[in-house]
Amino acid sequence: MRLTFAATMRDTYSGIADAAERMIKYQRQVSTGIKVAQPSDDPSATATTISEKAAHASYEQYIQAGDSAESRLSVADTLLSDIIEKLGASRTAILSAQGSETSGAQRESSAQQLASLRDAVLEDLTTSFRGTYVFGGAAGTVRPYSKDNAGVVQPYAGSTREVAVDVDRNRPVTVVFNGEAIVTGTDTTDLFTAFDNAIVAARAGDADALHTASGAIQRAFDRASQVQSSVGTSLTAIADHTSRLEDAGRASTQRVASLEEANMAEAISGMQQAQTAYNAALGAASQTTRRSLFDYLS
Amino acid sequence: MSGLYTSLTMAARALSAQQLGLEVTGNNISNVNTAGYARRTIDFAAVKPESSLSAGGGVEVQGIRSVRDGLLERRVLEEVPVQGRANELSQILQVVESGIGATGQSIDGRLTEMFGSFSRLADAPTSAVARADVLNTATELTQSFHEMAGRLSDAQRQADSRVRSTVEEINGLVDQISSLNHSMSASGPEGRLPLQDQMSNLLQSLNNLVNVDVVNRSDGGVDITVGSGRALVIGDETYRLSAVSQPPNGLAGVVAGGADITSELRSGQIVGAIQARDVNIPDYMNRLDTIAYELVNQVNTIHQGGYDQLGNTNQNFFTPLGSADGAARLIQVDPAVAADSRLIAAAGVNEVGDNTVAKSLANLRDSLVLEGNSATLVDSWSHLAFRVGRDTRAAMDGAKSQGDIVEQIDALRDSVSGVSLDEEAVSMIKFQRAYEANARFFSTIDQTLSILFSIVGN
Repeated sequence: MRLTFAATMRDTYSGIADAAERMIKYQRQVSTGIKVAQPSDDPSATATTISEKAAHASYEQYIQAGDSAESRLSVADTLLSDIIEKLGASRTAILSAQGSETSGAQRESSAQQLASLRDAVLEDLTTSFRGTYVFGGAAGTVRPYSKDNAGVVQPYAGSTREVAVDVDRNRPVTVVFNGEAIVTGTDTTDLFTAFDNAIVAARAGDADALHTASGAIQRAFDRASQVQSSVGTSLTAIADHTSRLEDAGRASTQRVASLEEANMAEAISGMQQAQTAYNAALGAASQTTRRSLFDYLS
Repeated sequence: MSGLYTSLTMAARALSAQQLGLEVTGNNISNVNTAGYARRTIDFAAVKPESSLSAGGGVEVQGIRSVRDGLLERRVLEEVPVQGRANELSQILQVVESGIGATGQSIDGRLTEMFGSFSRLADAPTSAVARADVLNTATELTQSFHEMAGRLSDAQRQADSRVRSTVEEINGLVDQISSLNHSMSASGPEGRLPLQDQMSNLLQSLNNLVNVDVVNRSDGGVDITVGSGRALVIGDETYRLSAVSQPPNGLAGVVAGGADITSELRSGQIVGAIQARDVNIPDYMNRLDTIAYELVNQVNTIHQGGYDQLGNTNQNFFTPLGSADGAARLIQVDPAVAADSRLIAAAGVNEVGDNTVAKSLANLRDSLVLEGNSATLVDSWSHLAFRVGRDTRAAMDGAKSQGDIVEQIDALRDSVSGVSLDEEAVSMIKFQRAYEANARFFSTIDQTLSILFSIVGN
């Protein structure tokens, strides 16, 4: 085959250009740390990376929702503990007011203690967190319980619909509670009426009425304990799900890195090889183009 | 005496022939870098002896010809349009690809952010900040759709512009070829060699733009047809193409003699631009529109079932769209909602603290609502990015592969028609030495004649 000047030049340039292209490709990987800069670099890896990043964002979102729910539930847990403690104290106060030996002063003291405990429970049940009442249900900003001018606690004004947030896919956790379910439950009258009855009964020394009120407070105690138990379960579930989501997030990050990020050792080694090839191509070009038969003609 | 004079004439003719050989060599060396130039070679022939006792009449030049291989020339013309198409498609798709954006920072990132904001709204449905966040991320998403649709539309217009400019380039080449045809028919065979070089160059350039059929004429010129036998050049007559805007979108059709021949074109740069403009980019646009349209429908359907902070229900979040056509360009947050974040329906019942709808909107992120209920919105975007990457990679690989093929055939053609400097150096020595030998022969005959003349003189 005849070797022509143009073909030699074309091959020379082609060799240099190919080597330079390889060198630039590795240089880009080393300088950016990314091996898939454009979809065409690896279309399949690009599509997978998009899905992985979306999944990772979803994990992050659930973790964030879990953190927020955990804060709310911690507040709810504290309030429920307080309510349960107050209800326990209320039953003790009722017991103190009972008995034929109890003096009027002792009964009045018990009555006042019950009034104080009632107000404390009321305060717990009307606590808000981040702008919404913890025991107000879906009514959100509506105060669930309030007193009228006569100091009588009014019926539940919140919503019976509880509010839940998702802390993982298909894993809702209740974060705003139906206060009425604690305060009234299946009883015909609410806890505050029971308190009021107990206060009147304590002053009057009405043992039967005190007994009835004590029963109502006990049932409220049970309901609050039940809700607190579910709060504890939810907090455990959040911790479990957060741990799982963090693991999934780390795995996702690793997958994205393996798809998208350059292997620096490989890239640097490749760049050095490409640089050697480039220098060789330049050297070969200068050697092949340096001489011809014309150089030997005198 | 007459024999010696004949020898002198023979030597003079030989000197002229070798000198012409040197000129041909010089011409080859001069044109070593001339595109389309085919090396020249000089044909010598021995002059027949006048009689049986004559040694011969020396040498005569029969002609100078360019060395071409018709088969290889035709192979180049067959492969060049395929390369032109692949190169053009690759270049346009690389522009499209650059507009897709980095993973996680394009439509996919904006979708994720919007669903994240719905999730935060579910956590705090009465929060004005969470509501403002939803509006911001939704507006950002709509802007991303607009920008992406704009980039694709720009790429389509640029491809259309390439179609129009390529038609002009084709017409320019067609004019030059017809002019060359005229010159060829007017010149004799000896004057056609440089014109053939030019013709070869023009045909290659034309074929790079559009695949044409070439028929050689007896006068050295060519007749050219395009598509299904539409005349472009017949002798020195030209039949120009035109780019005519066509309904409904005003993109150019290629028209020859009043007929739209766009679909008849098989390869060449113009076909690469047409394919990108009419096949690839519309496919991407349709897919993007489908994502935007489905997003609007899905979000609105859920949103309509909810209650805003003012107790309203059955409201849209995005402005409803009649069809998927142009959805990515038209998508926008409902103006009333955009003006008042309280109108975002987060609740499933008429209670402001409820978050059922906000949760449903956030969960839309994982809902399989596209591609026959097999893909999420982000999945569908990833499929679009995959298609762009795959098409671009295929076009780049095709261009590289076709470039290699053309390079190989070019090398083969070059091995026949190209100028080898070493070979020309050898030819130069060959003609120089032949010239020297003939000059010596001439000198010897001259000296012989001088001896004879001196004898006569004495």
